[in-house]
Amino acid sequence: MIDHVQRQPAELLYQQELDFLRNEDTHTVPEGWGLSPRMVRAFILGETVAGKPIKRKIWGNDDIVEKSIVTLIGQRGLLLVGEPGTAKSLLSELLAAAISGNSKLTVQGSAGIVEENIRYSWNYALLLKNGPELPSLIPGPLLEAMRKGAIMRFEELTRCPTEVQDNLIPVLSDKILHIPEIKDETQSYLLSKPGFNIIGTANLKDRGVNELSSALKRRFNFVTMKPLQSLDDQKALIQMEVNAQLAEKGIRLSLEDNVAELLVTAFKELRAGNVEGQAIDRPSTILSVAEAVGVAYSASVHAHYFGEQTVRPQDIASHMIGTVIKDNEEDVKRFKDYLKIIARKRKDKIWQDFSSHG
Amino acid sequence: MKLSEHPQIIWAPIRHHSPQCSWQLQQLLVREKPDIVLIEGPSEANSMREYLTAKATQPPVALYIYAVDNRQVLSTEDSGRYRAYVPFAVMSPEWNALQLAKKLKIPTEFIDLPYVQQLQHSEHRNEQQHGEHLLYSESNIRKSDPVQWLVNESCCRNFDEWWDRTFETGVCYSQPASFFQNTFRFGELLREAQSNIDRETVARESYMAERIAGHVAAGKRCLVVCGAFHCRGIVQYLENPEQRLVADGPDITCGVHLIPYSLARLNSASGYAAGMTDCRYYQALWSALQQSGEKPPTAESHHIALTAELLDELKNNAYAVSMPDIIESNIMCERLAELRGIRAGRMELRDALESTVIKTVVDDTGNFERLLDTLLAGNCVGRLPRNLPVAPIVDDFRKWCDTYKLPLRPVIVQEKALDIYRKPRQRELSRLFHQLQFLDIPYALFAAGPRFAVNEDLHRVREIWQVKWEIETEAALIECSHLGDTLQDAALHRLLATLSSPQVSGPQKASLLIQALCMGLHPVYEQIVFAVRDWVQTETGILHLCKGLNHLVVAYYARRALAAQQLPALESILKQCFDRLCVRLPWLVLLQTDEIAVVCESLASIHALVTVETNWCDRTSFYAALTDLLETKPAPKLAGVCAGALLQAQYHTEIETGAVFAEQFGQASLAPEIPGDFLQGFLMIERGLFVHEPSLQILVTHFITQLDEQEFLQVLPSLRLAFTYFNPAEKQKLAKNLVGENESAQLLVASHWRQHDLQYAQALRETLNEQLKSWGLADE
Repeated sequence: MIDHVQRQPAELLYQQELDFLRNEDTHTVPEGWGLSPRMVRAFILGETVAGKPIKRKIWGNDDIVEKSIVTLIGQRGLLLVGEPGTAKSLLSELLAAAISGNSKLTVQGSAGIVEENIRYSWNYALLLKNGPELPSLIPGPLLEAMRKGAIMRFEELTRCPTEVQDNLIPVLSDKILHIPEIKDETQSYLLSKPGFNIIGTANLKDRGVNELSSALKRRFNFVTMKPLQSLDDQKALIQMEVNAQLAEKGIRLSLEDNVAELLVTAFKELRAGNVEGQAIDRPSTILSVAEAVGVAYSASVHAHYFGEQTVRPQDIASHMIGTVIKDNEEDVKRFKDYLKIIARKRKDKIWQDFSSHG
Repeated sequence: MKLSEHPQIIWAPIRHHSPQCSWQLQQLLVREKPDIVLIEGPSEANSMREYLTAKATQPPVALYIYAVDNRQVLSTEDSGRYRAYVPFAVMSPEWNALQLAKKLKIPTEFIDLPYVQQLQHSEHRNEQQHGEHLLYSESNIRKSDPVQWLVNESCCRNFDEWWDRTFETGVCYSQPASFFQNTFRFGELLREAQSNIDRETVARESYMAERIAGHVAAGKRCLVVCGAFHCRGIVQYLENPEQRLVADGPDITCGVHLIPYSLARLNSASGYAAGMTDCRYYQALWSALQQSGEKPPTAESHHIALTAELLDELKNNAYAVSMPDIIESNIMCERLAELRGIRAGRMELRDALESTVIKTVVDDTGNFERLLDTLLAGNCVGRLPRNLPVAPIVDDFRKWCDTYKLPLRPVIVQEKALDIYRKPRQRELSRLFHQLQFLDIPYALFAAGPRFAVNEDLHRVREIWQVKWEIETEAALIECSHLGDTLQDAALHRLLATLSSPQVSGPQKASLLIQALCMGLHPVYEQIVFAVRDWVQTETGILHLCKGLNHLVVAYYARRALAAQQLPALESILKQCFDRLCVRLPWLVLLQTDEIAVVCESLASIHALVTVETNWCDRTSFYAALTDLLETKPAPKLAGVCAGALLQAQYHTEIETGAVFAEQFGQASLAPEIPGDFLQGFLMIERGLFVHEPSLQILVTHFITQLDEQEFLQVLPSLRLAFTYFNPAEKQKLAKNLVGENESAQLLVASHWRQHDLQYAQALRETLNEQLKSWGLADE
């Protein structure tokens, strides 16, 4: 494990768990995979293996995780679709870490991405000196993943231009990457090793940015990540995540039960546009569990350094503006209206404190 | 307790409609060859076994059982008409037990408590008066604590998935004994969690125990096919006969019939708790099981067949599915099953299809799930033999059809035009069709004609019906057996049940009264009138009274077609409604636009009523109410109706009417639509007089010319709307009166624009728009 870094990739963070699972794995392991599909599921969804409890890392999408694992065994790529904050990227990272032991072969999709960022580029000094040959080539994540038989992650695939996306078609159908610049026919292509596959993610809110071509669609299985439905699960997840992040930073504070409940209730009501039967204007911003974790973490850090060493409801309200409700004036107004309705409808202290911010 | 404790009894604890239970039951039956097969099914249905096992019978079919408690033995509150269904699909264990036993020449018997006695003990009797109540419901099982616990512990999404994994497809049972031992344990688990067994269950289990005990005492080896939940109860009453609940059945009329059923109706997604989800899937599974002989089949075979069938259906529903997608879904289905440590089943197939078929980054899972629900529900409809006993209501229907020479076999659609005003025989036929339509019998479809009950198309004198006999016609008639033995009886009882429903509003009751006349329910008219009169006497909402009156007036005007001349009760209700309206009219508060239209229509109807010979309408009180209403400054259209009616009835002079005009036109600067709305109301009453009476035309002209140009342009659209009341001939006459014959001809000709002029005007508008755009004054 590498110490003193801001964030460790999953294969390093959970190295011990992965090693343990590898040792205990008695099931058939697909060629090129580090773990059997059942152990991959145990790693992601949590299970007691050989008497040792494995921590659950993805909540509320068990069938989705199973479908994702099974897709990756086959010939098709996996496209995780979902609203922001539904843990698409986390799932793709965990899958890559469990299957290939490497989640770092990643491309972050954007409007400015070009083919070289994905496939390979050239060391121009060597290129000028020796011409196009394999030593002059700088491998991109795709080439590296094919060469090693690993999973390549392609984040926000639909944000890339269509012509860049279409580079993946021959790779997914024939498992071949052509390097036409090299004249030597024996070296002008790369065949992928077993275990290679692609996990893409696409954001529902960004739909239509760059529609996938039909040819590429056919080569992916689409799996839609659902937002966590149960309020209890949301609360547990937020508390677990926030407390873990606080502990990592050495902050001796934890998010209390009632404050976490208030946070998930407020998020639920704002998302639904309804407070106890009264319709309210929904903010245009994304209100996912990930955003709720962000709010609770900011409020906790603030309380630790500048506050009363305890996260109060009014801190949550104050950090919702800025963390979730950002630069949209209308959203700020909507949130303040929500606080006014809460102040009128709920007389218990915690909600009164929460609404006092407005 | 063990299944082997009673050696003379071979137990087959089942889940209704489960193909795996059917398959295991077949193996058990062939191996054990019992002396008799005893099946959980209402004893009244024993007479139907012959037809259920007939060659011509093709499931899905259902036993339709009904009871009519005319003397209110069971309850004084209920309607006393109950019904229930016991469906059989091709994969139902009970159905297969009957079929195989017949093949093996083993006698069978339905041993459950008769339906009327089940009703006697039921706590949910009132639920069986409406809707489609299935006799063997799973709703309690699904909600029970042990099932919830099992579902949660096994990480399944619902009970059906848990059942599939544990019994249906997930595990391979090579021996029926081990399978039924497990279903028996499941039943025990459910039983243990229930602290109180309801009286109906006790009575049923006691009865079943008694029937089994009789056969056991006769030395027979019995195979008992019943719900897993009941085994323990039956055994308890077998061992302790003194605990049995014995009671004589109530003296109630009941009947049982066989009807064709459909997979779509059986599907639990339709809301029937004892049904199966995705019936088509289980039907395919059953076919695979049957073809497999004694060895359990692999899941792949029927998944491949089913997904191949789905390919075209998905394409027809705008999913661009290709054969590779279907292949991938089958592969993925098997891999998912392997990952879950089970054999592939329904949910694995659904999951796989969802991942491989959906190809959008929009969240389409909800739509796709709904489509799969529909496609996997199936659309298969059952068939029955021709020699079935005929239900009395079907007999009545056939007699009517013979009388009127109507089709009783599948033929092309026949169109019938019925002159209901002049020909009594055709009016009779119309009544028959209305009865069938009211009972939702698929036979006669109303295509055109006066719709008296909804107050539409009253100017028509003929009714056009499209008549077509279908298999479902008689099945639907049988399902009305609980309502009566004749069509008229059934229509009357449905009408009375609808009238007594709290969801039916007063105006709807008035509409139902008209519908009763359309159906020819005159001999029993008093019962219906009673319900409507009761409403009229208690109704305080003026809007409801107006709506009700609008319906009742139809019966008065169309009394010949509806044969309502000799119905004094109708006049009496109309009078009551009229009196109550007159009292409440001056209390009209603020109304919405659509409500104003209803009130105006009512006022126009009453005005028309009082101007003809209706001695039961008191003219004085009506016009006094209108005068009072006008003084409350009502909505302009309402004021127009009041002014028109008062002028026509000579309660207002032209001077007084002129004052009302002045007041309404004077508000044009505040709200330009007021003069037009007022005129609309006025013309509802005075249209005829206005065309022929120059003084009225002068009055309107006077007020229009008082408007300045700006006001006139603002008022014009609403005035135009008001003048649409006139037909072309009336417009011609008006024009002649106003501008003389020559100019009027020019005026009316000028309104017919030539195509060339219209195109030129369009071109001019486009040019102007271009110019305005450059100045930023027009929309892009």
